[in-house]
Amino acid sequence: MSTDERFSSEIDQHTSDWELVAGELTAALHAERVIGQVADSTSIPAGLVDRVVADGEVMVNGASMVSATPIADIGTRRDVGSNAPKASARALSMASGWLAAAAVFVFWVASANRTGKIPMRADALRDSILVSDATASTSLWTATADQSTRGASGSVASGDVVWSARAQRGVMRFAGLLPNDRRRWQYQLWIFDKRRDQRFPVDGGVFDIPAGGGEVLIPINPRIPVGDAIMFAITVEPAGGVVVSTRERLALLAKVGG
Amino acid sequence: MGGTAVATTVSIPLLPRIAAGDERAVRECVGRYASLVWSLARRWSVDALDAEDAVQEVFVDLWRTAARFDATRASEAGWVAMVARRRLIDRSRRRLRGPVLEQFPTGFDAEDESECDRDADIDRESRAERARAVLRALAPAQRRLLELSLLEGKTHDEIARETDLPLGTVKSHIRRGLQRARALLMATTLPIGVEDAR
Repeated sequence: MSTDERFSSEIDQHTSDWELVAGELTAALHAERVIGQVADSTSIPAGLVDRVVADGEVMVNGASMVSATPIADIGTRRDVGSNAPKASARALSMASGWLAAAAVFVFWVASANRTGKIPMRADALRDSILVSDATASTSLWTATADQSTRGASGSVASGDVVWSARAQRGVMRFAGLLPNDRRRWQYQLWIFDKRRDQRFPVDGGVFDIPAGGGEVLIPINPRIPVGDAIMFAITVEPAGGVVVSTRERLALLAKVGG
Repeated sequence: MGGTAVATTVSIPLLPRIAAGDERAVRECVGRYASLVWSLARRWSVDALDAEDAVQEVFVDLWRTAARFDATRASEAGWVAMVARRRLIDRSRRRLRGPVLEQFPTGFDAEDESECDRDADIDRESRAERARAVLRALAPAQRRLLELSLLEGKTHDEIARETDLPLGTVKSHIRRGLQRARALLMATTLPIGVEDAR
């Protein structure tokens, strides 16, 4: 069970009187505090309101789509520590790799049933998605002319993105993307959902590309449900990412089915 | 204090419409509660960006749990605040840094079970008004402690340091304040407005 599903379940089953009381008092305290305020210097950002509304309208309108089957609980949206450089050479053959992936997935399911939360490596997650979800998509990245996609030798960034709508999980694979200085700038993923206002793609979070070359796998774990992913985009943003991207620096695009 | 102005506000709940799939209610709901959620998120988040993430998560929780809102148990604003508090507690635990909202021990108020009418069918306006009446009924010092705990998100330790009160006093005042609030909110006939001078 994902964190969100567990949260909803807890709301349903364990809403206690004291929590309701605390909620009532909190709301009442807030209401009294805002009365008479001439100017609210801490108003919620307008862009954030639009995003929240856009997300909400999609969720409310397509409530049936919010039925993710958890494959793995891996990393967090802004957890750059979840970057997992992939081994340069796989020890296993493709066939044995898939068998191993299936075994990992079975192990994860069994373990998750016991503990409710077992992290999975990005490469194992990618394999398990491909093995367990026949509807999962694999889309190749197309590099733009942004400087982040060009290597010193003139090589162009490449890779792909695996996405499971059923699991609401995915993994991005990159090769040749410029390493970033996480103190100054980061990459940010955006997922364009066919069911959503295209001005407000789903924020997939920020991530880092470490120095050292080689392939890098980044898990995708959006906190907003994605109904029908049609495109993935990577932008270059200030450290920490942005709520609404200006899209001035678009590095990579991957069209689903494209 | 603007209690009168607040008391005259009557809001038709939006969550039942959202639960029924009325997407037009979404913007109204965000407009109505964004200030509350943002205010709480700002106080319990490490920075503005973290607060924006928290706000998004809170509203997703609200959409997901809209059908579970029960107007006989809570006002809508109270429900929204409760959902927000839960999410912020969860985020604090995951973050393992920054202020952590005070959790109440399980069953801490069990001794008051007999005082409460669990079947009380309190309409939403009277429940919200009762919450405001509870605030008016509390002694200023006790109300301040609840405000620091619930609205400011301060831990009992932080409140004790800020108010120069012993930690045990802070805990007992807050506990008694919540117990009194619970009794007033859950019962239909208990008098309110009596100054709690403890």
